[in-house]
Amino acid sequence: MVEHKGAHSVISHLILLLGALLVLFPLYIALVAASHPAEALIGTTPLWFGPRLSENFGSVLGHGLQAAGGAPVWRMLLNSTIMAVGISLGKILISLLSAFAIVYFRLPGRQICFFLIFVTLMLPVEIRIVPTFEVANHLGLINNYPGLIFPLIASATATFLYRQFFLTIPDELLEAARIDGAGPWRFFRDVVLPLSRTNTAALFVVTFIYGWNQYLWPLLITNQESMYTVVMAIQRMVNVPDAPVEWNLVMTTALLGLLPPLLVVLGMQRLFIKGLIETEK
Amino acid sequence: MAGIELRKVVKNFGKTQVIEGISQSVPDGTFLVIVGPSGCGKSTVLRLIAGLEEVTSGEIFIGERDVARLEPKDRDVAMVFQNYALYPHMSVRENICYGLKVRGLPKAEQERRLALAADMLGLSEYLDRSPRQLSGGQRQRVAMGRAIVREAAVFLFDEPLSNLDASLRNQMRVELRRLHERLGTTSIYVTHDQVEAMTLAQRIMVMNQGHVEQYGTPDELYLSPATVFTARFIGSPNMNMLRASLERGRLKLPGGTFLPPIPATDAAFTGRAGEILLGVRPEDLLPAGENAPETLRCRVELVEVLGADTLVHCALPNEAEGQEPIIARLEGSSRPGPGDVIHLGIRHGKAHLFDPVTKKRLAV
Ligand SMILES: Nc1ncnc2c1ncn2[C@@H]1O[C@H](COP(=O)(O)OP(=O)(O)O)[C@@H](O)[C@H]1O
Ligand SMILES: [Mg+2]
Repeated sequence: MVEHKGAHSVISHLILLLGALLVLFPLYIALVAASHPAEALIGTTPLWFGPRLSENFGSVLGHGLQAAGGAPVWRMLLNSTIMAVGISLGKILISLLSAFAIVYFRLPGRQICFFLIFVTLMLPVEIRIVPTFEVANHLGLINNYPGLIFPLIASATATFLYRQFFLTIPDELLEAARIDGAGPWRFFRDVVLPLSRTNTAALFVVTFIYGWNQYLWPLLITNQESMYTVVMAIQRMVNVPDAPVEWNLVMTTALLGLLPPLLVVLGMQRLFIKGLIETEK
Repeated sequence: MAGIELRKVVKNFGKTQVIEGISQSVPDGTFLVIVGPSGCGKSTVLRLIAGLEEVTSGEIFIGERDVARLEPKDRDVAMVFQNYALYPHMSVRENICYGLKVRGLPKAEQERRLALAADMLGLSEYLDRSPRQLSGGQRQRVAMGRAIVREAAVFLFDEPLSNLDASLRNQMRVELRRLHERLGTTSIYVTHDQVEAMTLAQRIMVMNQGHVEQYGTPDELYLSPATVFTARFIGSPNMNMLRASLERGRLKLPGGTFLPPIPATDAAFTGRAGEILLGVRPEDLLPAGENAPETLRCRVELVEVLGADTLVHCALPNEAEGQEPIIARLEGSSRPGPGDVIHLGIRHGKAHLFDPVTKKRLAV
């Protein structure tokens, strides 16, 4: 029995290890590529590190890629971060408020509102991109942060998640708060918001990555290098006209572009676990 | 502190009328228990007083003010819920003080009231715990603490003890009484448990299907129930209800025995005849001599030994339809066995008579 168990655990560890290697291998290749001069990557894929790791990171962060327009990558990282954080916070704020309204207020047409919000699930950015661009254009949202953020912050999914969560908060909590003298805002701030903490953390992670990975919309709404995001920049670096692709710098940029979402996931993971431990027994 | 008065309070949910026009006043400082079967509208009455539901029509006075259209926070009431309704993310201290904080009371005053309430409820050591870390009884005390610190005019309790186990429930019941004696705040306490009602109440309001069956002291309800419903609802085991008839001014029992008027009810029945409901509490049935004429002769079916006394479930032969069940609570050690035939008499003056149509007590 024990031997069997041992073999079992060895096999599962082997499978896990294999999976991890499979996932990490491309990252390893990217890291190796990022440590070579451009010439070393033409026609071959080196499997061991070269001498230029820090230079490559330095040049990408500081100057960017001359052939692809030349905005420094730190600027793109900043743009991406502002966009992703803006989208996350916007989505969370809007969804919290609309779910709060839908669950706690008996307003006329409440069901219709909820239905309309739900219907937007069927209309992702890609489908409504032309009319959205037209509207954004008229509102002067080209080449600025509001333009990158606002059209993407409505979220039926997050609203739905918050609604479902609010429905699990016992009515008696609301009633106790009403008798304690708390109005709607007070109840929202003192009870609903703290209780939604772990849901909010989870949503922040998901929406941050959603925002960070936006490609099509930033491509449309920006046309100055200073407003480019990392994700679209990588694509532009690969499509340089009349010059060889500098794969070492592309890989460096890609690695930099991976970092913030990774940090967000790792940072929020701790809150998740805390939330899981703290749930009502 | 203030008294409460309900005037023709009606509540409809959609088309169904749940409260059918209740008018009742509760004197200042009274501990009133609303009791009734599940679904009769007890909680609804309480929630109407709290302002958690809006009256369809009628007035609710707390003190001199008609509060029927005010928000709960403006009614000066505090409420304790069945599931405690503690804020799970706040400590005991924050839970108790939340109502004061929202009302903007000075910190020092909050602390003073908190210390007082915590001391009264034995919660002083637990103030920094979260509700999750407390037992059911402690959580219930926190919920009470939250009401006490408010120093509200009226306390409302909706089945606050029903989630606790039996021994804790008894203990909390005693504590609640002490608390009320100490604070003297007008309190309305909802329960479906008539024992709880009898032990806690200064006044009881018995409800049934949205109306008040009877309002009075526990003794009044027990000794002279106004309706068949109250008679059977108050007291455990239930009052025996026998279909009897009046013949020639005397009460004729199902078995055919005539009761002499005096031992039964101290009353004469001149001018009345026909069907009548005779209620007798199990403890008012006494073992009687075999040959005494005015006894119920019945067969024992089941015997429950309670220690101090014995519950004897019997079948009383009935002229028309065979048998009627009857329960007697017998004292002492004379304990019949199943199958025995026993004779039971009715304790002097302890028969309750009701009209079989209106189900109301007959004024005798
Ligand atoms: N919000 C509501 N909507 C519709 N019907 C309700 C509502 N609340 C209570 N009722 C109905 O009113 C009646 C009385 O309920 P309630 O006051 O909770 O009874 P209880 O005496 O058990 O506390 C029940 O029949 C219940 O179904
Ligand atoms: Mg109830």
